[in-house]
Formats: sequence, structure tokens, C-alpha cells
Amino acid sequence: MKILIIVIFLKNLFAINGLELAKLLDERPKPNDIKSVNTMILTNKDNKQKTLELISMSKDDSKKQMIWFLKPRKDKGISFLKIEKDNEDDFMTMWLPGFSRFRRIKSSQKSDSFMGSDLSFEDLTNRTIEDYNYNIIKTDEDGFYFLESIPKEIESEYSKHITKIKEVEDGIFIVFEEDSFDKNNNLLKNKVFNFEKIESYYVMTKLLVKNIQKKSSTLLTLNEIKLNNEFEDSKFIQRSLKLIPK
Amino acid sequence: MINYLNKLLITKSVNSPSPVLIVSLLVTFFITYGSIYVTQDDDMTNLLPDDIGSKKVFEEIQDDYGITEYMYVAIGNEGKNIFNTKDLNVISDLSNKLSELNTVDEVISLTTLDKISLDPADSSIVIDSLITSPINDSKILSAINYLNENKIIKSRVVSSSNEFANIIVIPENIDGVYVDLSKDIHKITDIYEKNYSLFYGGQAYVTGAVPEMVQKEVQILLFFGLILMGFILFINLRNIKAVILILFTIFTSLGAMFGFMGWVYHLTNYKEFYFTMMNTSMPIVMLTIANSDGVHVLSRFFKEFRKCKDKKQAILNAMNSLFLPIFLTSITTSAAFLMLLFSPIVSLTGYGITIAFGIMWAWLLSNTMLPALIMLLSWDPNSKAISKPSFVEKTMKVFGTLVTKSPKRVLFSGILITLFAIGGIFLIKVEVQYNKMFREGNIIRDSAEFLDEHLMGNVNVILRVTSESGYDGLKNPENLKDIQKVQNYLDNMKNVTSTISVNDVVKQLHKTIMDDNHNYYTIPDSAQQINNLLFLYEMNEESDLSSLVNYDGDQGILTGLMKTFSTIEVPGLIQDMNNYIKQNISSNNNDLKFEITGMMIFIVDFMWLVIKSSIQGIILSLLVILTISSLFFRSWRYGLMSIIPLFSAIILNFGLMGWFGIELTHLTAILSSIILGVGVDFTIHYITEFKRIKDDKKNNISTETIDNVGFPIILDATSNMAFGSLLLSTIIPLAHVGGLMVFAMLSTSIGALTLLASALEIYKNKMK
Repeated sequence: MKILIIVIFLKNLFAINGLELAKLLDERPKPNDIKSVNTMILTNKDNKQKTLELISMSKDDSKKQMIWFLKPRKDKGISFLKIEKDNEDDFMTMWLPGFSRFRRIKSSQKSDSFMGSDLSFEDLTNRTIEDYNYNIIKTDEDGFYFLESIPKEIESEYSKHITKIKEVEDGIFIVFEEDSFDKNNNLLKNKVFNFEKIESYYVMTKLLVKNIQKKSSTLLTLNEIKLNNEFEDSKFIQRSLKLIPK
Repeated sequence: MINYLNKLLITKSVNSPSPVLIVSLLVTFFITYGSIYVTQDDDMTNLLPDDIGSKKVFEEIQDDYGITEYMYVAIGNEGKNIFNTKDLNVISDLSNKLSELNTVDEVISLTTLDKISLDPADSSIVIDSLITSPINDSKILSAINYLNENKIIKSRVVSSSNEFANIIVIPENIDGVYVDLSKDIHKITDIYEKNYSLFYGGQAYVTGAVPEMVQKEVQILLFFGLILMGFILFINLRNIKAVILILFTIFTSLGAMFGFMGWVYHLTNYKEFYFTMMNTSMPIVMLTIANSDGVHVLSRFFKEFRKCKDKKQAILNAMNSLFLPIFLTSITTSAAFLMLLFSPIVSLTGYGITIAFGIMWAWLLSNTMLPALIMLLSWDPNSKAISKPSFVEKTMKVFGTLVTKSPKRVLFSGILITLFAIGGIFLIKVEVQYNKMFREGNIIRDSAEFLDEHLMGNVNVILRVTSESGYDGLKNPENLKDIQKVQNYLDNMKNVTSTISVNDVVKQLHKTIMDDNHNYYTIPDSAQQINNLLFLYEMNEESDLSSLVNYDGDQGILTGLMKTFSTIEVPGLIQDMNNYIKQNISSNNNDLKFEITGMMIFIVDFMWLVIKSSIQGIILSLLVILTISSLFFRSWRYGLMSIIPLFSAIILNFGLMGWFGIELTHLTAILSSIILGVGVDFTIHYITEFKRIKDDKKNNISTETIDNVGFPIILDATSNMAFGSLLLSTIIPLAHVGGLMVFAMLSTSIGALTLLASALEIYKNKMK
């Protein structure tokens, strides 16, 4: 009996808390930059599908990102630049080849859809650790942690997230699944992630997002992934959008 | 068979009244218990058969693009500008509450509307709410400026005087949504009625609110009608017990009819047995028919009791002479209602079966429960009611002599009046313009008139445009430009207040992207430009194009918001649009196909269906009555005689509607059922009595026939006239039903006692 009490005590003593888990997740080693050719399959509630193909280049954990659309043909050449800025609005601009014009996009609503998909800009933006309260609501026998993240006083389309996380290597935690709830605490989105280890980094290669309320889904698949391409910051400028990279 | 039934029912009822009464009541109560299963379906659109072309397209549109029929809530105060923080907060609050309803898909108002604009600070494109919370003066000013530059958008959400805001409520695409939502809206808006004037409208609102309104009015007015009916019966029968017995027979028959409907639905789940708006007329039809059986039994009993002073013998005499006519009238009326099985309107098949059951149950009760009750109650043979004929009875004698003396003159006059009425039939107008359906002061009429005058009107016309070239074919600039031509044509049409299509978004974005230059409020010339614009637009969470263009981009809808207009104009309007499209679009562009629909349009189609169904019902019913009468009277001549007054009464009624400008609607169309149901009763009672007297080889056949059946016919007709109380209804077609009901009773009873009586008198020697 005494031994059991000691085991429970030690387990609690060394158990990580929610905030620590969030930090561990954030501190996972990441490449400096990524280039990939992505496909995005959008499925609406009537099971009709649209397939988009795009080239993505990102840096600093996607804080800087450029996207060029290849397919469908009608949208070829449209491109997008996003630069996340601390304490001010993100810079977002689009190149519209039909008009040979750049147009900045101001999206005050973070819930705005990313390219008509089930992913919102908020889904694509890195969460700032300090903006959330964390709580591990349970763990299971397979070693999964269920981390609840509740936004503090930030503008968010969600009331909370419950993220299924696992330590895949010593000290390396990755996300397997996440449920996001709307302001009325109803399940809004379910996201299933697939990570692959490429050049010692765990890189997301697939993401399936289901919008439970709209009954639509988006499957994002990353192909031809190239890491650490040594992209300069100066590459992430408007002018780069005009030419589709090879 | 008839004789066996007669013996079985009447003899048992007279010899063992208590067991017969108990058994008949127990069975009736058991059937009536089924009323708890009666299921109401107020959604008028469910009444329509699926194969109406315009409905088919309409339903496909609802499935593909969501509900296209909107509800409107206008809020404000006369003489006060709505653009202030307090009022806009109220609009925001109201919009949010409406948005939260499960029955609501989307709410468009000043505070939920999106704007596409350029941010002057950095020239970025902003697709954002017109006014965001917290509302302040600078945001209001900015919204006013945007709306003043975009007058079309403004006209959808604000009245021209800026005194009222229009909140457009788009219902969720779920069953019965119109009914639930029209109730939900009032629950939410009630608290604002103290400080604001509120108006409600839109075809969706009316479709949802009218059935309940009609049912409530019918319930109240029927109640008054029944009191009046009891009073008329009492004046004529001069005996309270007799009146109570008649009313009791009516109520038990009515209960059994609804119980039957409930049981059938409970056991089969057939949607044909839903209680719909069409079934609202069922109690009226049933009351008139059940009343007739009771009136005939009681008045005949009094007459026989007066003669023989022996209660048992009087009941036996009365029932023996009435068994055949009551059976015949019941069987013919039931058969006539069963002809509704051939109706294309789903709920009318259940209606026909239910009424047919009710009529046969009323017959059974009139031959079991009613004689048993008469037997069990004590009757004073010396009372005034029994010993002395009433004023009407005396009058009938005089009337009988008149018909016998000048039958040709009476017949000729009848024919002349009928011929005159035929002219009126050609003047009948079919009208479902719903604000005309209500008297001034009614919430629907007042709101509809307000919305027509100050806002976008109440009705929609929808054009579904399909590109034959497939995926994204609609977004081709040539196609969008052709759609714009049709949109411009619609904009210039009388009654059209505004139009909505994907072009509005494309043009607005084009202008915005070209630095807000108004010269670019056009469809771009290249497909790439159009695609770029739509790509940009679809990035926004709130910018949902799915209500305008389908997912594949090969089909879209063009909506014309319109002021309420007469349904008489609908065919011309469709013709004009089709002609324009044929001459200006189809001649140069084979890729685009236009289909016109809208709730207003298929409701008109539905009206025509009801009318065609009524005409078909009348013809079939007359044929059934002719056949059954010919078989039972074993003479085609009698068969023919039985339908002459019915035919004439129907012509007289519809002719009168034409001459007096009473519009034909699905409500007034039910009169043909009442005329046939009650009219056949009068003619068969008359013919049976005429034949019985003729077979007894008596003289003065017509005089005696009128003497015997004239009083119950007149009593039946006058007591049914109590439903003239419907004249007080605020729903004009229902008031028309009340007025026409009085006329129907007059025409059928007088038709039987003049046209039929004189024809039989003239041809009595040829009748075998």
C-alpha cells in the first residue's frame, strides 16, 4: 500500500502540466523553411469536390508564407503572401494576374476562410503560448495527452480546442488530432494530422479538416517537400508573387 | 339488402334503445379517441403535387441554393431616422436573436450586411460587416456613406426615408420551416413592439402565418355559426330536446370523422391524412351534411307523432320512410367525395376518404343512436311543437300548390336564372394576391402594403440560369453579360423593386479592385478577370456565393424582388420574360437556358390545379350521383332529375361569383363540395318522397311531396345558413365562403323545390 502511494506521489510530482505541454509542443525542432507542392481537396456537404494545386514556400514556422495557385486552370497564377507581425495586423496581399494588380487583403475576421477551404486564417496562424490557458483534461493508456486550450482575451472564432498529443520521441511532442469548439461550445471543426519524419524533423504531410456544422471537409496533402532551402527574408515580398517558382 | 339493414337497425333501435345507444356511443367514442393522433401540417407547399413544373424547378433551387423565399421584418418609427446608435443597436440585437433561431439560415440587415470596399489607409480590399460593434457615430457615418454610394444595396435594408430598417430573414431549408419561423419571429419581436412599429411580410411569412390564422378564424366563427344554427333550429322546431339531439348527432359524427382521420394516420403514417389548410373546410362540410340527417329525422318524427300520437309508431314510420333517402344521400355524397381519390392534390385524397367515412358514420348514428335517443326521451304529443305545424310547414303547403298550378312557369324561370348565371362564370377571376385576401387592419395586409410602399415588396420571381457548357460555364463573360441583360430587363419591369444575381458581386468587386472607380461597375471582359474576382471574394468566411451560383459554376439564380401584384398578371409576366429571353438572348446564345419559377408562380399553378381538380370532382360526382340514383330508383329519368338542381345550383353559385367579382381561390372552390353534399340530400329526399307518393297512386303528388319534405329541406338549408357567420371573417375569401354558403343553401333548396319539383310535375307521367 505504501509503495502504491509513493508511486502515485512520484507520478504526480513529475507529471507535466498543460502549459508545459504546450511549450514542449511549440519547441519541437522545426526546419527553417519549407517548400512543397500541395493539393487541397475541398468537399462540400453534397459530396462535390474541388481540387486545388499550389506551391507553398514558408519560413519561420509559416510566419512568412507565399502560395502560388497552379490548378484549377482558371485560377492559375493567383498568388498570396502572408507575413505575420507581432502586435499588429498581419500583412496579406494577393497578386491577381487577370488585372496585373496586387491587392492587399484586410481580414479583420480571423475566421475568414483560407482560399475557400475549411481552414481559417486563425487555423493557419501559430498560437501564441501566452494567449491561452491550458489544461490536460486526460491521458490514456496509449500515451496520448488531451490538452484543452482556452483563449484568454484574444479575438478568436473558437471557445476552446481539445488537442490529442503524443510524445513520439524523447521530448518531441506532435499533434495527432484536434477538436475545435465554437463560441457556443458546439463542436465546429475536427482536424486530423499526419506527420512524417523528414531529415530529422517531424513535418506535417497531411491534414484533414472537417467542418462539423457545415458538413464540408478539406484534405491538404503536402508533396515534394523540401526543407531548409535557405530562403532569404527578402524573398518574401510582393514582387515574388508575379512569377510561379519552378 | 336495404330492407334487411332497415329492419336490423331501426327495429333494434326502437325495441332495444338502451343497448343500441350504449354500443353506438362506445364505438363512436373509441373512434373519436383517434383524434389525438390527428397530425397538423400547415406547410402549404406540401400540398402541391411534385409534378408541377414550376414547383419542381423551385424545389431543386431550394435544395441547391437554400431557401429563396424570404421573410421580412421592418422596424422603425415614422418621422424618425433609423441611423442612430440606439436604433442600430436594437436592429443588431434583433438580428442576432433571429440568427440564433434553428429555423433561420441567415439574417441580412444593416448590422449583418457585408460591404466590399477599399480601405483608404492602405488601399486594401475590405470584405467586412457594414457596421461592426460597438456601434458609434463614425461607424454610422461611414455606413451611411457606403449605402449612399450603393443605392441598390441600401434599398434592400433601409426604407427610402431612412425611417425603417428591413431585416431579411432567410429560412433554413427544413420541413415546416415557414410555419415555425413565422411564430418564432413574433416571439422575438414582441418586446420591441412597445417602442417601434413593426411590419412583417414576404411570401414565406404569409405561407407560414396564413394557415393558422385561417384555422383560428374558422374555429371562432364556426362556434358562433353553431350557436346560430341551434337558434334557427329552435325557432323552427320549437323544442329544445330536438335541437340538442340534432347538435349531438352532428358533434358525434364530427368527432368520429376526426377520430377516423387520426387512427388512419396513426396506423398507416400516410401523409394523405395530415390535417392541412385544405382540411379546414372539413368541419363546415361535415356539419352541414350531418345536420341534414338529424333535421330530416326529427321533423319527420314530429309530423308522424302529430298524426299517430304513438312515439314508437311515429319513430318507425319516420325511419321507414327516411331510411332509403338518408341511405341514398349518404352513399351518393360519400361516393362523390371519394372521387377526390383521383385528385392530383395529395391531401385531398385523404380529405375525400375522411369525409366519406364521416358521412357514413353520421348515417349510422342517424339510424341507431338518434332513434334510440328519441325512443328513450319523453315527448309531449300535446306540445305546440308537435301538435301544430310551424309557419314554414304551413308555407310549404302554399308553395306546393303554386308549383303544381304553374309548373312550366316555375321551370322556365329557373332555367332563365340559370342561363343568366352561366354568363357570370366567364367573368370569374382566379386570384391569390394575398394582401387582397385580408381586410384592412389585418396584420398581413397592412404589412404587405407597407413593404410594397416603402421597401422591397413581398414576392419574388426567380430565374434559374443554366450553362450547357458545364463546369464554370456560367462565369464566362458572355454569359454573365447576357444574364445582366435579363437582369436589366427585370429591373425595368413594373413591380420589380430590386434584382439579385452573382453579377452584383462581380460588378462591385470589379469597381473596388479598380480603385473604386464607378466606370468599372461592369462585368469584366475576360474570364480570367472574373475568376480572379470570385477567387478573391470566396476567401471571405461570410462571402457565400452558394446562394447565387452552384458549386460547379454551371448554374445560378437571378432573383427579382417584387411588390405584391395580381396573380392574374402572372401568366402575362412569364410570357413577357420568355419573349424577351427568346428574342434577345437565345437567338445569339445557345449556351444559356432560363427557367422561371418562384413561390408566387407555383402557387398560381396550384390554384389552377385546385380549380381543375374541383371541375373534375364536380363532373365525376355528378356522374356518380346520376349512376347511383338511376340504380336505386331503377330509372335513368330519376337519375337525371336528381342532378338537374345540383347542376343548376353549381352554375348559379359560380355565376354569382363572376357577376359579383368574387374571386375564385382554393377556399371558395370548396363550395362545390358543399353544394353537391347538401344539394344531393335535398333532391334525393324529394325524389324518394315523390316516387313513394306516386307509387301509392295518390293525387296532388307534388303538393304532398312538398308538404312532406319541404319543411325539412328549408329547415336544413336555413340552419346551414348559420355558417353565414363566416361573413364576419377578416380573411376575405373565408367571408366569401360565408356569403356564398347562404346563397348555396338558397339555391340548392329552392332549386329542389322549384326546378326539380316543376320538372317532375311536368314529366310525372313519363316517370316510371
